[in-house]
Amino acid sequence: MKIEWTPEHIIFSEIDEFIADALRQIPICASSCEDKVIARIYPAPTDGVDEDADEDWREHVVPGLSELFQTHMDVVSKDLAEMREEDESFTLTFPTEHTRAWMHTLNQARLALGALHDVTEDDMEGRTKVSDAEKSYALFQIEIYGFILHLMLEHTEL
Amino acid sequence: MADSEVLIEEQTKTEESLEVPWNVVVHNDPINLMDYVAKVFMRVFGYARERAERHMMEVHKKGRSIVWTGGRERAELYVQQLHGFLLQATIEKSR
Repeated sequence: MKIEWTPEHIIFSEIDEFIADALRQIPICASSCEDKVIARIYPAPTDGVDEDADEDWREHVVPGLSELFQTHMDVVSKDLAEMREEDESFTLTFPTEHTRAWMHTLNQARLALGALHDVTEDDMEGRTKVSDAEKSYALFQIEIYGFILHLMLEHTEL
Repeated sequence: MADSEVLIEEQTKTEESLEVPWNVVVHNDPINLMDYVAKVFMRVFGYARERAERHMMEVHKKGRSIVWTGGRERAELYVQQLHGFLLQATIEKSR
């Protein structure tokens, strides 16, 4: 995969089918509604110490955050729908002003996968032997999304 | 009589909550990128890179870092912003 950064666009080219499929999964992973994922994406502000405050937060703050996150995911979904196939590889182009939405959604997808598969520090450092194929693929996704996020952080302010 | 007692107690509790300094605490998670966390601190608190990276390393090595201390209302606002960047942040009373 090649990544080109112009003042107006970010261009991912020479994407093989395997990576293309992983990229298509970004908004799907990010929007997981599993309890473990929801708990990680919308943590309680007092972690249960003040139940009233946590409940108030769920009622008044979480809907606004959810709306913001959905806006970012929509941008990424629309960009991914424009990914085109040419000469047995795929190309994905999107405007640089979409970068923040991409950074957020990449991070949300990573965190959702981490929560869903109980990923630990040792898993991330490669100190564990992962025999579960699903978790193994999730770790690959976390890695590739992290690589793209890292590149974006080098080029863009949050 | 009972109602006014409750009211006074609630007022006292609220005033105490507002007066006591509150910590904004960021907790470690194995997934967030270290450079991302530092950049969030720079963006949310306006910290210089060195200070942001110091807090980021504290989160990474000790599991948590108190990134700001002050009034509850502002602490909650900061936690909201940190949650907007998907960091695990909580508020707690400063000891």
